[in-house]
Amino acid sequence: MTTGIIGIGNPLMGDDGAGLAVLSRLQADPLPDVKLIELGTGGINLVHELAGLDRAIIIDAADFGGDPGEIRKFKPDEVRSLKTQGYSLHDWDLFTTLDISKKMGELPDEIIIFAIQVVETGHKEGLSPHVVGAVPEVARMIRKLILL
Amino acid sequence: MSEININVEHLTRVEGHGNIVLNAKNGNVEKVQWQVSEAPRFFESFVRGRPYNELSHITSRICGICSIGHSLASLKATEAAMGIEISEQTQLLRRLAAHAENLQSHVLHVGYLVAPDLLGAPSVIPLASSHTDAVLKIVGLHRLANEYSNLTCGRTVHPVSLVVGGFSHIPSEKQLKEMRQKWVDAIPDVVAVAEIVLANAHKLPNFVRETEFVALTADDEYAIYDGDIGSTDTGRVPVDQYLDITNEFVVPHSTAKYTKHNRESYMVGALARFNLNYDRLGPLAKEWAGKFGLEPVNHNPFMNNVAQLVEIVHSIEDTLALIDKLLEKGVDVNERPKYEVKAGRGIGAVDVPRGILFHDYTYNDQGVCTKANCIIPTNQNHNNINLDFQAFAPTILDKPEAEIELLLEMLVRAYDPCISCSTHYLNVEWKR
Repeated sequence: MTTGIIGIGNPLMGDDGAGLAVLSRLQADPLPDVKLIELGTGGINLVHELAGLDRAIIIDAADFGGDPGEIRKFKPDEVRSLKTQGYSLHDWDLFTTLDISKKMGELPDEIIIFAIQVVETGHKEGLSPHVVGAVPEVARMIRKLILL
Repeated sequence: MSEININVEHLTRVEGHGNIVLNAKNGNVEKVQWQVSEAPRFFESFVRGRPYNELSHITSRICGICSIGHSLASLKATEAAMGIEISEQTQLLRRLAAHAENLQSHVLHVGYLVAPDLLGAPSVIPLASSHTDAVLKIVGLHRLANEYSNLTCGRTVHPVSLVVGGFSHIPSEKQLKEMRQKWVDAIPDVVAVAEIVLANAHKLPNFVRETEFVALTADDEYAIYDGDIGSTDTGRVPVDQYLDITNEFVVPHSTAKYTKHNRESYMVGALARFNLNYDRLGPLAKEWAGKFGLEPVNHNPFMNNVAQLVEIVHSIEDTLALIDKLLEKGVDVNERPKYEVKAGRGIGAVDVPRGILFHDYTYNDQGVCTKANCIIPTNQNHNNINLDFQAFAPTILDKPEAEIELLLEMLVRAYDPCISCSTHYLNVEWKR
């Protein structure tokens, strides 16, 4: 089984970099038989990265009205995106991309999303303290999931 | 009394943030404007004080779509400043890199952003159900263009192997042969996508406003990587006279600078290149231009979409020819740049997917940048878009408001503007 762990976000936009921070943490102590994918702000390129994976674990910053740094693990069909469906390459939507992948028959059998509630997403480097605290916890959860 | 008030804030399916405003009363346009609300980027200041070998890597970050073009313009400026000569192999490989980006960008724009307008869908998502085969082909072509960029630049965006004086890593003959075959195999898919666009091309408005077109131009090739600056109004000038062409100025309703040359505005991009370089297109590209009735000089900005499609065909044709030339010469994978660091000023111009791009650097004798100027294609088009709005809006006022809005949106999208980046975190609610 091919598993990909995909970090999404922009480290120059504060807490938007949470997904990449988790990926760096996982990189420091590599897991067996997983592909670590730094998607960054690659948007639609997610379709290409998903092709060929059996399982995708996606880590992204999110705003779901939770407590600062709160972690949620969910599958795509458990949520509804509040983003508009206009679609530009700079304002893409993860769920839209998953939908395209599905229609192409390339969607991995299993998709697990780890979302971290953002506090600040302005132009700055570095995560806010609550999000910093969530990073090792998400890495631990993913490690446990893989090694299960 | 009939009133039309259209305010499109943050137009979708373009890169970055721009607004459309139209106010009309009793059949008269009172205000029509294309407003750019992007924040300044300060790249020209970032690079001051940085060493010459960092500049292409920093300035590539101006854009995630045109990062190869920014790298190439940057390297050309640095090489011009220091009098660095590059090998024929480097010239050929850089042309491949430029084609890789042209393919990546045009497939994205025509396939993901314009096709929904032509096929009557709000976005590419419903198309994946209604036109599954076409979307599969578009995604496949995009994937191949990414692979091509990876081969020529070391990454799909923000090149790592393009360096001052040449390449830090060179693709092998075997890899080039494989890439060549993949593009040969992809031609039927390109033709299939082109057929769909052709069947819907009548939906592109027949709007003509005469303007000036500016693009790189050369005697012996369809200029993308190199050439002089060409104008459909005034002919050719060398790249070092670019400031006489661009003449930047500011307006109250836009944070982006505007440009003008021989007229009130000019247009850059695929249509400008087509209008100035038609004779040097590949035979299949010319054949497709003919099917769409696209001939130089064409003054319909909506035809920029078709010119991009024609360029997709051309970029594949030229890729095959360039790889043949490389293979014939033999590829030296161990060739590395040789140069001396010197003080000086240099200008690099590349015609990137959205139009002509200029980088202008000054270095001290340590190779540290002391001054930089970058003029980006989209900024050169804003003024032309505004003047198109003023000419186009009065001709469509009799249409329903939703259609007017769509037509104005399509006009902006035809220019494929790339305004700026923003944050992209998820925004979700839980299903109850």
